[in-house]
Amino acid sequence: MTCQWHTGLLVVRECGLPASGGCGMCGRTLCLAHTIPGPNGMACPQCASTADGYPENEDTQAASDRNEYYQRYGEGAQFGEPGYFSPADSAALASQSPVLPFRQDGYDPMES
Amino acid sequence: MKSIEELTPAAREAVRTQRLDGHWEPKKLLRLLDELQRWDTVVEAQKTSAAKVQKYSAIGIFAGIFGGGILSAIAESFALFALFAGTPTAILLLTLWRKKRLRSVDIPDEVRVTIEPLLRKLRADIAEGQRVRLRLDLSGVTGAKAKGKQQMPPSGRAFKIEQTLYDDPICDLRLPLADGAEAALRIDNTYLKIERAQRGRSKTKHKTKWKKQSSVTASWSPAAPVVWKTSALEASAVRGVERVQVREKEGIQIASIQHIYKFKAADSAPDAAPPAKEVLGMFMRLRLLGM
Repeated sequence: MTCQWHTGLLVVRECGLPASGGCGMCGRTLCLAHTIPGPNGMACPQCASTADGYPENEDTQAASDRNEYYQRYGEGAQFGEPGYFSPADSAALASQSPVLPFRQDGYDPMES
Repeated sequence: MKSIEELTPAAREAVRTQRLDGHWEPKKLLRLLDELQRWDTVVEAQKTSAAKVQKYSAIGIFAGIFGGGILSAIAESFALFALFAGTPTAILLLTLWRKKRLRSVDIPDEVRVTIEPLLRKLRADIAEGQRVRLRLDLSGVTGAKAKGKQQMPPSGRAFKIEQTLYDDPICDLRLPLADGAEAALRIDNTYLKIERAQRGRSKTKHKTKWKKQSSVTASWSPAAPVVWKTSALEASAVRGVERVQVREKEGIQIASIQHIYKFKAADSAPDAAPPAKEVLGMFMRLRLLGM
């Protein structure tokens, strides 16, 4: 069994290291580096980024970035395409809060 | 961190030479950029405090001339006037000198706002063992970058407008990605300084405005030939500010999105920079539509 956590934002790929446990929320197998302990037990960075009480780290930040960008740009992606989410990804995303607005800072590039 | 001496030798060298050029290990580059962005935050804070001191010392000069004038007339002593008016004048001169010094060690906001956060988000995408190519020009707007000057109409005896154009190709970044593709980012800044002088009966009024145009080009060169979804890419472009281009190089189609950002400021060149979030969005679109 190998870790099913996907690393990367533009080039998404499986971690592939030997798994040592699993995510208590979505069930994907995880290596030690991608396991995050929290109030609901062990979680993958994706689930930890959306659930309360889990510490934030580089992986949870990457997970929420990927979530935000793929929801914004990855609409309609088919299986095998980079925008496609695996069933485990989708399960993790189902408990996700609404998509963040793309521009949060009121920045207007058209302003001259 | 308060002084330039507290920076690591590599960061100090970059600040002093106002330049960063080479092939970097991603981790080392991120550490260096992180240091530079922290240095920029320090300089920004010092600039803000210097601007405050400048404002209050200017008020102090007026108050000193009046107050010192009255007191020196009462006490019949010029020393009082010199003390009251001279102290804020000395502080103002010192602050102006400090501001000039700060300008020489300042880092463009592109490092803090665009490049460092972008690279941090993309670090997991960089191919193992590969180096990142980065060329950064940190010198900002300098006289050497002036490309042209012209007098603009309306011209007349009482009214004069002069425009100066500066070209500042600030950044060229090439990221070798884990799947063999290459992502490239170019930021080219153009500054327009508009100086207006209006001559009245007794004095001439001067007004300066700055406009900054940042051309951000994100390019994607896939490892193997792909068929770009050109129409979807074009549909995703923000009308009026983005342009999509697909060109062929050695049998591989390279797609790019160019986004034009516009900023303006009075008195000094605008500091604002393109947000990393939107630049990353450009790469994300290229990635998703290159299948």
